[in-house]
Amino acid sequence: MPLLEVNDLHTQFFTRDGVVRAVDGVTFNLEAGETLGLVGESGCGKSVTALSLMRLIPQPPGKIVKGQIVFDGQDVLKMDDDDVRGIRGNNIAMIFQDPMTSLNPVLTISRQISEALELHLKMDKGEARKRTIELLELVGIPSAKKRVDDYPHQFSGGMRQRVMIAMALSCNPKLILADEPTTALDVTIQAQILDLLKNLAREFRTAFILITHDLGVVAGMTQRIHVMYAGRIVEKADTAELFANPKMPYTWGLLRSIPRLDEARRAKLLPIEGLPPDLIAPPPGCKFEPRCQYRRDICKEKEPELQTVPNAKPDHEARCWGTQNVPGGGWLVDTDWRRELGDTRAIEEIKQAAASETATETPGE
Amino acid sequence: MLKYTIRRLLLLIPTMFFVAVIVFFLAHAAPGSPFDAKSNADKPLPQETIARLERLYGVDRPVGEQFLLYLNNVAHFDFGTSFQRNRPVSDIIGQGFPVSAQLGVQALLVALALSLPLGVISALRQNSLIDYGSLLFATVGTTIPSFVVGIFFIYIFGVWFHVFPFVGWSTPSHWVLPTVILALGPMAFLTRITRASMLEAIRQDYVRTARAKGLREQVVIVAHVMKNAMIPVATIIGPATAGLITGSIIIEQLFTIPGMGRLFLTSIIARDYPVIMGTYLLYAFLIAVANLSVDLVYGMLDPRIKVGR
Amino acid sequence: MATTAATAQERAAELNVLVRKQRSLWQDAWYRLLRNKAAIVGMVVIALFMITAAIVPTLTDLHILKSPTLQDGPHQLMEPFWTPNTQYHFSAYPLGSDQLGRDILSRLLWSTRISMLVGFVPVAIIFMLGVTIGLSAGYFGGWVDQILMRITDVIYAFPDLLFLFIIMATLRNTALGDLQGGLLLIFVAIAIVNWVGLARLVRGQVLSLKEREFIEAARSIGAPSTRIMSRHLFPNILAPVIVSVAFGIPNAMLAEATLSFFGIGIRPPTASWGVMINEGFVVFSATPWPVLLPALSISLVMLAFTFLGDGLRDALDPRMKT
Repeated sequence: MPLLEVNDLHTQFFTRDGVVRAVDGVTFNLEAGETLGLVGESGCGKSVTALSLMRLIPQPPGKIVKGQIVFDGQDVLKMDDDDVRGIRGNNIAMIFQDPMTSLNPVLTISRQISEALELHLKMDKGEARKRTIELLELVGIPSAKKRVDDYPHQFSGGMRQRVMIAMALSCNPKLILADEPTTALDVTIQAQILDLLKNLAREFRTAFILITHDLGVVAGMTQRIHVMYAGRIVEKADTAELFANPKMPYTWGLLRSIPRLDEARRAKLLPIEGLPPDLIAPPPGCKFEPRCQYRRDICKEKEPELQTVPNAKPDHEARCWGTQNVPGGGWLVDTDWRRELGDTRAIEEIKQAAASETATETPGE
Repeated sequence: MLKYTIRRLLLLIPTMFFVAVIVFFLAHAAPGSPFDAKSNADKPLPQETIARLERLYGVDRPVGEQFLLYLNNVAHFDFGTSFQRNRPVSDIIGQGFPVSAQLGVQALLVALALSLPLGVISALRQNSLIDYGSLLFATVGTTIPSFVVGIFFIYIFGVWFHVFPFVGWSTPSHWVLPTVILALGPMAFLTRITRASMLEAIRQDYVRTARAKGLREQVVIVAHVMKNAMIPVATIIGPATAGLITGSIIIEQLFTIPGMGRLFLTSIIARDYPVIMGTYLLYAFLIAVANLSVDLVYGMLDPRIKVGR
Repeated sequence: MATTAATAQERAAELNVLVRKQRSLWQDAWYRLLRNKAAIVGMVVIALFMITAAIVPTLTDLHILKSPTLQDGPHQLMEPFWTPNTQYHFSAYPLGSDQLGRDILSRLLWSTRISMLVGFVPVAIIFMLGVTIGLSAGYFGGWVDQILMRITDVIYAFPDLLFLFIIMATLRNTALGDLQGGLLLIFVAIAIVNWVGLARLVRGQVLSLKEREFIEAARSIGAPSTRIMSRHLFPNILAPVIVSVAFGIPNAMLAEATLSFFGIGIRPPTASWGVMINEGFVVFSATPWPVLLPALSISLVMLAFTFLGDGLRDALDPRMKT
């Protein structure tokens, strides 16, 4: 039985400008002890998915309108509030992106970590404090005993993130959601934190969902990767398989845009042109179609399903007419994405459209 | 912290000096003599009497000399004698100050007791009836001049309904109307600040973290949000004190209360220099102390601030 | 060829539609302000008052409105037209008369002129003083800044009203107090007492902006200080300054009303709401209207400016999204 089953999750935000379909039909599973990468651009719905798992979506204006989230055999969406709170911090914990703002500046970190221990594990103050110091040592905070009564602003960025990790680990959760845990840190610290997370996952056999826009981060950390775009999952594969044999033009674009050490110096960077779609009034067909250089008419008319694709591992799925072996599709099945950059006319159109978008920005403040 | 406090208190001295300079020279810039006031239309004092009084009180000397003399006296804690009432200034102020202090403290307590809960509740129940009500109250309270509200209240509760007396300060029921009116301004202001500060604090990321740990909403609000939200509110106490001081002048005039405010007004009009200086210096001192305590309180509440590096 | 051009156009249009249109900060703020109903009401009321202030002299000249200073012995303390025992008849005193027989309606309307003047002139002075000094102190630092900070400390030690009182009470019988029927002194007094707040605000803003990259960039291409201050710093500090100005106007009006209430403000027989309240207080127990009517007027105008100020603050501060 998988630890987590998410079925057709739909989370929407009701704003003055319209209904934002932030998560628009997401389905995936997670096994105990597994690390899953959830990758995509800003605004693609990955953070909202994670927040939905813990029902942390602010009720107005947000709402989980449809779907099923089964964690450890229980349907999270059908629980009452007290039960959900019992899970938060206890069975599922979350690490947030910016440790400076995510920690309360006027409370000591001892207090902030002990809170969860006292609440969920019913420890008294003395036990909680001891455990807090243990946790701080576990995540690599030097002189933990002395620093346990310090305030967040007295720590450096990397240290603060370690504190957040300690906070997440405190009640031995089965699942940790890490939302861009290293984005706010500089590169050398990033590596340290990722290492820490990897070791902790292995030692405590905790399942992780690692949310990031950075493919480099997931490469060394995850067993499987799901790529998200416009509120949907557009590709699912094992990590190695995704990097070796991606099957969705968006993923190709992501991989292509990473500068490589072995590239010729003069080789140009190849970004994905255009901007992410409007989640209030998304296009009718494939959501990536306006930016896709391999598109055909069918892409504009109908949205493809997420299905297994030929020339790939058996559990590798992609949401693309081109790579699927279905009637009307399949023109990308044998394409070597590293060499064939798509229809030049389509590329031109996309570039022009992108240029006129930026020209409609009004100049000035 | 102690060193910082002492340093700030010492810094008061140059500030007070400048205050004294400005007030002194302004007061002496008014045309005419302080003793014109003693003379009334039907029985004007003869010129020689005025001249003699002036010489007696040293008012005929050049202004600069008078000022230095005054400074010298102040250094010896002698604040002079009132021209109008012929009693030591410290006596007169000593009589009026407790009344004003009581009025001020009462008003501040009332304001705090009502506005803090109101601000918190309206932040938590945004866009509800309470929220709109308190916003309306806050807006109206800060715009309608206090003397206008005072007049209305006097009319309704004093004249029409005869519930509360509105002249003098003798019995507790005399205290009600002035205290309430004086409290209105700070109350409106404090409600706004508290509400805004709570709203700001609730938006912060650490609230999301607290919720993600499974804490009950009540705990989140009280333990996490409020501690942060109260910090800006505490800093308002300084300006609020200044507001109370100026407000009390108006209120005391309206309700004929024998406090420092009335003293201040009458002494300005009568050109009673010693009293003017005395009350002014006292006011300046109070405000400076209020501002200092705000800084100290801020340092105590917010661990990020190191008071008195 | 035609078909490809058409499809390209369509594609371009599509992509435009899919992306939220960009708006400049000021347009955005204006749009937000217009959505704030209270602010709109405030602006309408202010506009009405300004129009009244403008046409009142003409109305009086045309004898549509009585003179505000004409004392009419036999018609003292008449009641407004809605009271039961009014002696109102057409073209008499619709809002009643005061104890000297002067028409309250006329005095009320003429007071708008004083209020508008008192609201805007000192604030204009405060704006010029506060912004220039604040910019200089913040940008140049050094002794200019030190002096400014000392001055603000001293002035902060004075409660505004007390300072105002002392200036008005002592100087109003001097030559300075005689200019323009006492108005000039009031303008100057209000400006002197209140400019420091704005200067400090501007200075604080400048300090936080000074180290930002765009200032560094401007400096690195050799822009002179005045240019940096006027072209780069000034537009970026405008937002809180505008809010401060919007609240400064009712503040100034309140100051004048308070001073006049205590008899040390506008000289009679000029009408201002504060003066009217002062005069009406004497006969308050006989009839409340000479006090209530100007009190309502001043409350109304101040409320309007406060709504506008609130609206401006919400519109110009992009963080506060309720």
